[in-house]
Amino acid sequence: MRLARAQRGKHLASPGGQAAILFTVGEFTFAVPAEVVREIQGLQDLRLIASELTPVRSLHNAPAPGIGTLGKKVRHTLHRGNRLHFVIDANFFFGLPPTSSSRVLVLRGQPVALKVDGIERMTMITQTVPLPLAFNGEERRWYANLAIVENRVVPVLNIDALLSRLEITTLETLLARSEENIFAAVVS
Amino acid sequence: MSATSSFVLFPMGEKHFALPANRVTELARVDQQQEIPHTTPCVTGVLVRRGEVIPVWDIAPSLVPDAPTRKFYLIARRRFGSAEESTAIPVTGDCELLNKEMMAPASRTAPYVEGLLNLENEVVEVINLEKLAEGVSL
Repeated sequence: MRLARAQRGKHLASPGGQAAILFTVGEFTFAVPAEVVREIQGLQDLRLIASELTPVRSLHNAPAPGIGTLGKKVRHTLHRGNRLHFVIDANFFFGLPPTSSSRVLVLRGQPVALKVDGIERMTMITQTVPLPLAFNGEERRWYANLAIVENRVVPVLNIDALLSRLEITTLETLLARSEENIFAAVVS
Repeated sequence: MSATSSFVLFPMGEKHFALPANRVTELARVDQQQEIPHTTPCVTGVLVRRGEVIPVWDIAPSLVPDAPTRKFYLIARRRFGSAEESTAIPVTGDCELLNKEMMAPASRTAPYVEGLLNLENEVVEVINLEKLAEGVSL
């Protein structure tokens, strides 16, 4: 499902609220601003990469630092247009037990996509509040704020927390090396 | 420390504790607590009250680990440096407002005890929420 141009970006932002996509992961509902989502699609085009990244070793023949966690967070890639997107497992990202994913939110402007259980609907968010200060864990990075949608508290995803620049570079490097290794193995 | 002050006395299982009354804004029935994924210890969810999102901080594990099911929320103001916000504290029964003189805590009481109230059958600890939070890394 490609979001129509009229549905994208600031066209939907209005004094009455901000357009958002509500998605589900397990029993939880989250929101992401519609303007940062390029497209929503099924899982059919995902390519598994975790197994390719695992054998990659650093110069000292030790596993590359951080790849263990990164390899669990990003297990798939997705090609959209000319761009490769790293697909983040939302369950892993939010520390939730595995559930049945069926949709991928492809983000705009960065090589990142998010694998989620499903899309609930689009809505206009008219009321947001900061995350209460009592929350002092990882959630301070995960959420931009909290939306109140029909008396329900819905965390709004902070897309900048999904993958850091360093993580993206690491993944790109490891993937390139992995492809070189595969090519070398085929040639030899 | 010798003047009489107001306190809200609340039950937590068999024991009672108290908070300075000026830190308590209301007592609410347990209504629908909502959960969001997070990693903060002892915060069990949030309440929405009059458009405000109030975190629920279950202090029972720090005070009375085997406390029975909580029936009410004590809505108190909690300080975070210069900021302040509401926190819902689940308690196990009705609360009571009383005026009493607070005694200095004994030397062997827990760090979160701000003072003691001497009641007829019980010595009640007055809780310092910020110190209690430090104890559970909140």
